[in-house]
Amino acid sequence: MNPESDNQHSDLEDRFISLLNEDEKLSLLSIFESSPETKASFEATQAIWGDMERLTVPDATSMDIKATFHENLGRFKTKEKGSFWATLKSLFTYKPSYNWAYALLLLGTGSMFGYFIGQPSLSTHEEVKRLSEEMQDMKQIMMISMLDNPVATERIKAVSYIQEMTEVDGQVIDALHSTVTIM
Amino acid sequence: MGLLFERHHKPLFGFIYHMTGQTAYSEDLVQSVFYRMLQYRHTFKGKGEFKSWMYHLTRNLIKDTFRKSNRIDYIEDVSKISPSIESSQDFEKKQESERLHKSISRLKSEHKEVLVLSKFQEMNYKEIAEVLKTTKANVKVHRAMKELKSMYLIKEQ
Repeated sequence: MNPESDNQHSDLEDRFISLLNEDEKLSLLSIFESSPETKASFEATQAIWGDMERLTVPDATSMDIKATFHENLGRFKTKEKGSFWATLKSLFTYKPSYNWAYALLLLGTGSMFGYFIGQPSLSTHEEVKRLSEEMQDMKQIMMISMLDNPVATERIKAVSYIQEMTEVDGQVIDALHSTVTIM
Repeated sequence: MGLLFERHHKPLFGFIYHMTGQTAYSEDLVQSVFYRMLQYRHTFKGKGEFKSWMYHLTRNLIKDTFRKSNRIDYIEDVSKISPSIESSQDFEKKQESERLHKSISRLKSEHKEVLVLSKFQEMNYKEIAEVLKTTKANVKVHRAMKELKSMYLIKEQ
C-alpha cells in the first residue's frame, strides 16, 4: 500500500468514526474490495471503538462534590467582595445602567436650570407694566397732537387710531369731541 | 455558576477520569477547574464555545498538576470501570475492558486527549481543535486509534 492511499484510508477511517456520507461509504467499500487487509484492519479498529463503549466512568458520587463546590463558591465570593482590586475593578466595569442614570440626571438638571433661568423676575414684570403704561400715555399724547393738527386727513387718521385704543383719558375724549364738531 | 456546575461537572469528571484514571483525584480536579473558571472568567470572551474553553482550562490544569507533582500521568483505578460480574462471559468482558482501559492509559497524552474528547465527550473535530488550540486538520483520531490498536492487540496475542 502506498503512503498516499494509506493517508486516504486514514482520513476515511477518521470520518467513519465521526460520520460518513453515502459517497464516502461507497468509496470505502471499493477500497475494502480491493484490499482485504485494509478491511480487516478497519474492522479491528471499529471493534475497539465499539468496545470502548463498555468503559464506564464511576459516578462522581461523592455527595460532597456539590457541597464542596458551593462552599468554594461562597468563599470565592466573600474573598472577592472584600478585595481592594475587586472594588477598583467594579468601578471601571462597564455598566449600562450607570450610563442611563447619568443621562437622566443630566437631563433633569438641565431642565431645572433652564426653567429657573427662563423665569422672568418680579422686577422685570413691574418694568414691563410701567413700560406699557408709558406707551399708552405716549399714544394718547400723540393722538391729541394729531387731533389738534390743522390738516384734516391727520385728524381723520387720529380718529381711526383712537378706535383701536381700549383705554383713553378725558383729555383725548375732549379733543375727539372738538375735532368731530369742527369736522 | 451553580447552573454551570450542575450541567457540566459530570462530563468534566468523566474527561478527567479517562485522562487520569483516578476517581478521588478527578473529583478534586473538577473543583479546581470550576474555581479556576471563576478566577479566569474574564478570559472567556464569548467567542467560540463555553464548553471548549472549559475543556481547554481542564486540560491545562491536568498538565499543570501533573507537572508540579511529577507523577506518572495515569494511575489505574480499574476496579470501578465495569459493572460487577455475574457469569464467565461477563468476567471475560470485564477482563477485556480492563485491558482496553490499561491500553488507553498508556497512550501518548496527546493521543489520549483526542480519543477521550472524541469518543467519550462526543466532540466533533472542530470542537476538539478548539480545545487543543489547533486546526481541524491536526486532529487525527486515526493515529490515536492506531496506537491504541497496536497496544491492545499486542497484549491480546
